[in-house]
Amino acid sequence: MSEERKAPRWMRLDNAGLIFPASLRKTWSNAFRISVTMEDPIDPDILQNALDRVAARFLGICARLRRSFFWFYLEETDSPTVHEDSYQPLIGMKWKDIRRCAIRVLYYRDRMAVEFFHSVTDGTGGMIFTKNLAAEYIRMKYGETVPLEEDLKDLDEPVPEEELVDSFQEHAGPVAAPRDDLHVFHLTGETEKDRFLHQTCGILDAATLRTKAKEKGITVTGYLTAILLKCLLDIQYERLHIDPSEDDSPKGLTLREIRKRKKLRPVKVQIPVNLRQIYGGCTMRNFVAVVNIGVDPRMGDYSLEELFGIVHHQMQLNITAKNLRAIFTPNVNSEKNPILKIVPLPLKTLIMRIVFDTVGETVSTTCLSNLGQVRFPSAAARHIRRVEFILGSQSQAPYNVSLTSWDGKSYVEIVRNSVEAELEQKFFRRLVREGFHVKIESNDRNTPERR
Amino acid sequence: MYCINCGVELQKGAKVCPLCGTKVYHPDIQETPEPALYPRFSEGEETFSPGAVQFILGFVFFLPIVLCLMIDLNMNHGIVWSGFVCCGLASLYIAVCLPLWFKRKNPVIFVPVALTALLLTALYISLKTHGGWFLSFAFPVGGALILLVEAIIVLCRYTVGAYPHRLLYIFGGAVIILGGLLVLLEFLIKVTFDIPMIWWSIYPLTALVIIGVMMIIVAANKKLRRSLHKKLFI
Repeated sequence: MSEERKAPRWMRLDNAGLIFPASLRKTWSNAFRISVTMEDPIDPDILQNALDRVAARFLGICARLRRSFFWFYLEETDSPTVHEDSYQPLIGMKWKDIRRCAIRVLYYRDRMAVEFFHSVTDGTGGMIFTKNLAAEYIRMKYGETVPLEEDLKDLDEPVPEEELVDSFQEHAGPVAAPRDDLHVFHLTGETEKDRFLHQTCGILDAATLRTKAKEKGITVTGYLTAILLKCLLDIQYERLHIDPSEDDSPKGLTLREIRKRKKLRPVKVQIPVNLRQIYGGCTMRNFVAVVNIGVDPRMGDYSLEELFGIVHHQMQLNITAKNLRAIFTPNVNSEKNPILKIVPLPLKTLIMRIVFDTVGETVSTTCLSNLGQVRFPSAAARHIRRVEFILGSQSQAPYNVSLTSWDGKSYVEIVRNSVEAELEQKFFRRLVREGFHVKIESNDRNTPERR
Repeated sequence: MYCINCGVELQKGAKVCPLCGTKVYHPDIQETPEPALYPRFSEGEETFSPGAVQFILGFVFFLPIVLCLMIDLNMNHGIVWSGFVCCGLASLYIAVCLPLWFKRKNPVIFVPVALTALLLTALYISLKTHGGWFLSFAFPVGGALILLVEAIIVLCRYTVGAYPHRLLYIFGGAVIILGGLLVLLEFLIKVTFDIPMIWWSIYPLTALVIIGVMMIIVAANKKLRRSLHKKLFI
């Protein structure tokens, strides 16, 4: 008698993952990508075999998104087929793709990449998945014995239940923080007609970056956030034709200049925080909260030195267990609301989409996500040349910034779906002015030539 | 190589700075380009989902059919005139909308199907009006036309390929056969409707034979084809 096929396992979406399918649209999905570049060209057959093994171990990530009457849910699925990379990262992840499998695995020359729909996991979970995939590929291709260190898992063991839990539910508290309802400055730009995603990668020396940040008494994320804020302030001044140096003019500002300054909006950068580091746990689902760090230029211009201080203190103030708990508690409460629970999924999707469009991206100007230093056991590390992390663009704002470091180099990725390279130009030029050696790589297809 | 404007190092072989668009050029430095970050850009294929169009078209055809049937049944207590409307619309639907349901819209299949639907409509009209003209007139003429059209489509689809002049052979032959069909048409009109033959079909037959033969001559003569192309290209 043939063995009966086991019914696929299914699980509820975690609290953070609920909003992403609702906010999905034809031209935009909330996705991110982690890629590992090897020393040799990728063998797709070996990659497929490695993926088949890793997918079975991470069934909460290699899953497909489905609809029930009231909620979306994740269902275990077979591993996807690996494909050659497209002409741009994170090319349209549509509902019909996500309902088959919410991740995709791509290869191009010597690079393998995994693109994740954000409902299945966050950056940390994605990085662990990708690291395991790369390590298994190295084991299969080079016959290396890669030890189970640095987040590498035993692929033969059954999936531990603690990796599949929704940690938000465990850690939600009684008090909800008031929503940050400031309408901030938004970057705009002429959107590429086909939503082409420009990727500009700035490669910096990681040690120099750490040293410079240390000199300012701030973390690497904080250092880059301060520089990003400065660039965003400059962009806002240019848009409103304001010369910030006039603020200190002994004659004082004219009425016209004061009126112009009243149009200024706060500039804020959203920083995702890995909650596993704060509350512990090893869930492979989403477990991340965001804090908004920024300044209000209506109070006057800020020098870079001032920004380093402000960012440092705001991060210290906001990134605490108590404050973060209060930030994600309202979302958990909404999910538990009995009236919202019984609303049919189409209506719930509509409500969530309206909420997302109204408040989702209004509280920050852009996002800077740092996955930190990537580490592999040395048996695997010698075959790896580069590791990158790329966020997709936001639904409204055309930019997003992400960062990861590997083998002494930091890879700062700025993505953009607008035509003009405004932010990355300012950002990388500022880094050069601060004394960094920056190497730029880009997938640009239509940079206009200037003589 | 560095951008003189931004101060950043650029990919080897980069032609412009991706940040500011400044042209990168140094006469003494020859760089082998680094491989591109992604495969070459290609315009994504627009995927067209015909589902909605099929639904709307289906509704557009279905609605008048139902309305006509209801009105006819209500007024005449039977299908009197609405049958003609239904048959006409059904054959039009088969001709226009049926291919949309299939991924491969092969005309070798769909054109004869559409023509057969028209022929069946003619059969319905003939039976309903007690005309008695279907078997002796519409069927042979329609059948011959379907065969001719099918032959043209099959030959065009499977034999032309990289030899467009073969179209001249095909249509030359088809034009001559069409002339012959006109003679058959006149003969069948006489047999079915008892209208005396005045041999009007000889005139179009002559003209069509001349045109067909000329097309075949042009097809067979490469030099003539070239000369005509030179004079007539658009």
